[in-house]
Amino acid sequence: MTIADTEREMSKSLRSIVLIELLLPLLLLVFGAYHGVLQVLYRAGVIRSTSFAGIDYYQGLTAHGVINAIVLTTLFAVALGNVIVSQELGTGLSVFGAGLSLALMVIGAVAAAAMIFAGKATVLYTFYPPLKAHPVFYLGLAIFIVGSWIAFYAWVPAYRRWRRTHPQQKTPIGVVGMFSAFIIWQICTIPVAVEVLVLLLPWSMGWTAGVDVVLSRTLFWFFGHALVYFWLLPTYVLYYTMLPKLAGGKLFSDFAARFTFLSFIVLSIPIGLHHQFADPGIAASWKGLQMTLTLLVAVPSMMTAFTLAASLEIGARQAGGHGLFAWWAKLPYFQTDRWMFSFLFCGLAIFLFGGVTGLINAAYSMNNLIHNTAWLPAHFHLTVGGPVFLAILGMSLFLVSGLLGKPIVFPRLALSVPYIWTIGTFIFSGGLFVGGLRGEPRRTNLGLTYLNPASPSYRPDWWITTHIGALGGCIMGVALLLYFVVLVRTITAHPARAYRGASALIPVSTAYHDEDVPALRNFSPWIVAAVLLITLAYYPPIHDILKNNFKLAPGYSPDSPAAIGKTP
Amino acid sequence: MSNNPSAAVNSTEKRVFFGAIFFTAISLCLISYATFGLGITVPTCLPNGAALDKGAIIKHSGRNYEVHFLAKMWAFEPSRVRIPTGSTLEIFTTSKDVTHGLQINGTNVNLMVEPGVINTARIHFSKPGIFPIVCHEFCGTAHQNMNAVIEVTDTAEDISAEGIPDEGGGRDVADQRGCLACHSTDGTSSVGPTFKGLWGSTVTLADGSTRIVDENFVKSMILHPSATPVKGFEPVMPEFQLNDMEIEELVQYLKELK
Repeated sequence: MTIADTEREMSKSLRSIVLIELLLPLLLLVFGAYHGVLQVLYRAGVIRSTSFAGIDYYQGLTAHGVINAIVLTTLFAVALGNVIVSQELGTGLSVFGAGLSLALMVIGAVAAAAMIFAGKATVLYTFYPPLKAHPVFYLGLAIFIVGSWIAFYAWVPAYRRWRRTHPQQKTPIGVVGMFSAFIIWQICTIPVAVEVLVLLLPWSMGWTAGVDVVLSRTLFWFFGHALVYFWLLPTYVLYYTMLPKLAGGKLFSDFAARFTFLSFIVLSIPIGLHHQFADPGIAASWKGLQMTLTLLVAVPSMMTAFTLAASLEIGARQAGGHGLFAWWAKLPYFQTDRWMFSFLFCGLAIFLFGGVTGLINAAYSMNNLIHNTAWLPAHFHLTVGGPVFLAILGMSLFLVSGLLGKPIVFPRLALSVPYIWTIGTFIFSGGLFVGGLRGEPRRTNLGLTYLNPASPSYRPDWWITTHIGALGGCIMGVALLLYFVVLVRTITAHPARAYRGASALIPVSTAYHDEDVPALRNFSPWIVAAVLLITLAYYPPIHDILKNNFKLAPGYSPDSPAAIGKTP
Repeated sequence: MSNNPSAAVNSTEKRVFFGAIFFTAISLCLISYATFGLGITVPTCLPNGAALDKGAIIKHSGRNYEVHFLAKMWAFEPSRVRIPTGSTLEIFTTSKDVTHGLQINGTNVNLMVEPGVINTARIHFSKPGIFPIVCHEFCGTAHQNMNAVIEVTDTAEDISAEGIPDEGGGRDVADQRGCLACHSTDGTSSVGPTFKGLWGSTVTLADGSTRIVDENFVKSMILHPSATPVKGFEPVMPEFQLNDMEIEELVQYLKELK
């Protein structure tokens, strides 16, 4: 590395910004996770009520989705980007930009959360119209997203400066990954911003009488699946930069890392229709086209699986591993000084199953069997709830410890968290997979009717699967409880040493094969390809929807079948 | 900086890349076979303008039937369809209010039901059985009450349906305001007490006191249900902002159900 250590130092204000970006969503997560545990109990009929301790089931479900899947993931991505860009490019970032971005994200998140807790936005995190939320909920989400854009804008000048001063060098892989994530985010949040600002906000304010439901859903999923890759890419950054080093080895291929990130820019957006296979109003041909593209996006993930296994093998053989498979035993699964390895490794193990079930969901005709059943939450708790969530937990602890200069208290306990989480997640998802195949709906307070022997809707065939789900969910809750014990004890411990900015905060591995492929040196050709493919995939269905001119729907409150206001 | 700096991509890696592409191509072939060979398709866009504002069953030739499901907060109309074994159903569905889902458990019928647009599926029932229909999209606080049943029997001569409301003031109010999602009209107890025989009866409240179901009590239960929770039922009834005329019509309807 040519960057002098002194240039890597993060300014005190940037450090404070990053700490808030890490700790604020973890604070909200206390509630988000609490309601995760409550949900499995409601679903199994252990709780048979519309609400518990003052929070309604669907209100809590909305908070669980918005906090865990939007607020936590986005603030973490911004925090990690701030650290990686400043560290890897050896440059300071605009504190004004980073600060403004944080301020907007906090205002947006607090506004949206306030509406949820006030019971005025019980519309789930997908906020499908014509269920109507308070305007402040939509506005809060919009402000939150704009805040995340500004964080990215603050990195761009630093990157340009670095490219000018380092004309011969390849952009560090961590920066390629974070920029890819935020390029995807920048493109995919435009359609959802249009949905929120042009369709939903004026309708929620009462300025327009109705909303086009098919158009709204299409704009949402234009964003909704790319969101998945925005969750995933920061985790991939840690897999490609940090994991090989933690395993004592090297990144097997520099090419694979770059190719993976850049191909996600092209492929992660024009595939959202696979969430709408069961929707009316969209031609089967356009669904088929986007299904094909969805299968292609599995290619970079399969390459990732190979590259990471090969990188781990390098590390294991360094440690004396041998044989065709025996080397797997030489990885640092239980070394307390490398506790972060377990967070990343367990995530990978979970993701194997998340990826395979993702292919099942994407398969057009197979989707008929599982669409909107409990199978879906089972799947995405093995993706966003597996590798992504564990990377966020582990890395937040790692960065908080590094930034405060406080070593981890109870490293053995920290080490156990991802293993317990993995066991819990497998049990939870196992129950929901089978339940989904038996027709258990997702997003439903099953305990009141389907899991209530006194109800005419009682479904004894769902008893066992919902109870397995509940067991898994409770184990996940225990894992998280242990995590918070470690986190709080680490933060409140006396600092063992002062923060020394000189050493790099995030360990980054070198490459074993360091290929130089010119096409992977620039973002622009990949962005152009993305825009072309998105146009090809999304222009025809949106054109059809607009031409069809579907009847506009008035708004509804979740607790009454009577329309709000006048009918269009 | 690196062990093997070179411009070429590692050969194992190339094989993995093309292997991944090959795997994807195989998947695509299998899906194409399922779609075109086995005829397992997903809904497509119907011509706009067809009207579907109430549940219906229509007989076509032989054992081919058309069923219209109207989804609404929080019931399907019809709520029970009985058909003879060997029937083929052409299903059309739309929503009167918010987004719903319609899955027939144990089959490939899985639809989103959205207002302003009609969704469709076709299904053949070759074996007798009870097939529950579940609403699988969040549609409001009583979403978990929203389901229906298809009953396939060897004894049924022809198709029949329940739960399509007759025209009429009080019945319409009870249906449109969602009362019937929790209160049955045939004497079976559900989330709330059945409407049948309720009028004039004596109910015990959670605090042990008793009340006669009269006009005042009905009105108070509609406007402020949490004030007088009834013993034996979860206190889950939401407040309904019905006007005096609607309440009067409901009372008439309750009297008729006595």
